[in-house]
Amino acid sequence: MARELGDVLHYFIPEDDPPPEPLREVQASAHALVAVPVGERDVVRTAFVWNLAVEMARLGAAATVIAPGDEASESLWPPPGRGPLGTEFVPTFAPDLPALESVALDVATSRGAECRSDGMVLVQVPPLWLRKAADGDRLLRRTLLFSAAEPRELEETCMVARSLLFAAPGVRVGVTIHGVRSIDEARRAFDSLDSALDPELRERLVSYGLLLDDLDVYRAIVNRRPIGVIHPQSRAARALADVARLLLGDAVPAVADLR
Amino acid sequence: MIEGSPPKQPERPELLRLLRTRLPEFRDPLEIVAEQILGLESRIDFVAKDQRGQVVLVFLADRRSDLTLFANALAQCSWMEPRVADWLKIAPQLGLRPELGVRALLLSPRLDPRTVAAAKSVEHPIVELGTCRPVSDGAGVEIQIDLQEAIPPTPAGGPTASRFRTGLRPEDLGA
Repeated sequence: MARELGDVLHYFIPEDDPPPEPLREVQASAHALVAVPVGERDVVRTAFVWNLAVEMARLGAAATVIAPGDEASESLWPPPGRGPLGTEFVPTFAPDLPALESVALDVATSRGAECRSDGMVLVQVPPLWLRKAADGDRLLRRTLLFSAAEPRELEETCMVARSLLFAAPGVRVGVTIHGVRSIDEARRAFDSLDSALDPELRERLVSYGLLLDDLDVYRAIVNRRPIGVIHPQSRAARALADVARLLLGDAVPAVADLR
Repeated sequence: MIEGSPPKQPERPELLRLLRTRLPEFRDPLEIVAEQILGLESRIDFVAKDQRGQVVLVFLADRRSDLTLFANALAQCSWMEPRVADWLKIAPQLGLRPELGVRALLLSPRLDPRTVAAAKSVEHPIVELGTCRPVSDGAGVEIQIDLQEAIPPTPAGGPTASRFRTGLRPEDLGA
């Protein structure tokens, strides 16, 4: 039976994919995702994550925190739902990195569609899950590491950063130095970390300022209230606001970033 | 530094006994969790943890065996790493932190330059090196341990512009 060229054209030319327009519309409005590796019982760094979200909200951005965990870690986080200044905490029982990534992408997309304004979703990632970073490469594309300035911890941060940067070419790793007393001390710590990285990886390592672990931070943890709400003029709150500003300045919509 | 004439080389069990007492005295003290455990095809001299809870495998090399033992240290780290979480479940009081991974400390009377070069080039797991020499303190034999610096040195080529970012000024931190 004779066939027209149109009948066999698909053998030679790939057929067009379905039009991606509706997807693009959702992607464009998705909130930015930032993965933050923090141990489930790491009180101070958990407090940093939540307080950064509050500072982002104070700067006018929508901020959501997602954390996987068990009952023991729940006490470190605020109650689920809306918190101060419109921040939101979303607990999840995601058992592994792919499940957490799926939850995070859903939340980033839905919150972006709901509020139509700039926003960020901070996702707590258990550090053990980073061993299988390739399973969550979409979530880990923007990862923020907190590091103290001690040599041993910088070494450990360097190791984690290197493994993440090697995991995929699109990954960017941010580092916030904490527990320092001065800007110079934080700069020196970041510089030593930067110089220890392989030259070809350095351009994907990004500095996100410094945070203080002072008395105001511990008071806020004990009182279970954000530093920016109870001591907005404190040194710790200023540092948090600065890191929040830097993060929002570099924000990339989560799902659009995946293409 | 303790000076003394080179004493008769103690037997390995004696060296291990001396080393056991020294590990908790390091600047980053090591607490012994297990000794002479059977790892991958061979025994690990000490399984210890540091102050943060990271597992540290300690190996004592005989003279001229450090290069071979270096490869063994890497293998044992990779054998141990997935087991730390199980150890923690069995003995939570140990306070091990599996997320920190496992590092190794290799001590030898003398370090082969190839061992030193290899340790510098391996980024994960970190293998720290040190020399461990018997010295006579008059009353008996002690061991002198000198650990090598673990942090990679700043590359040569002079200072480069810092990429550290902050919008804070010194006065924001009360400086």
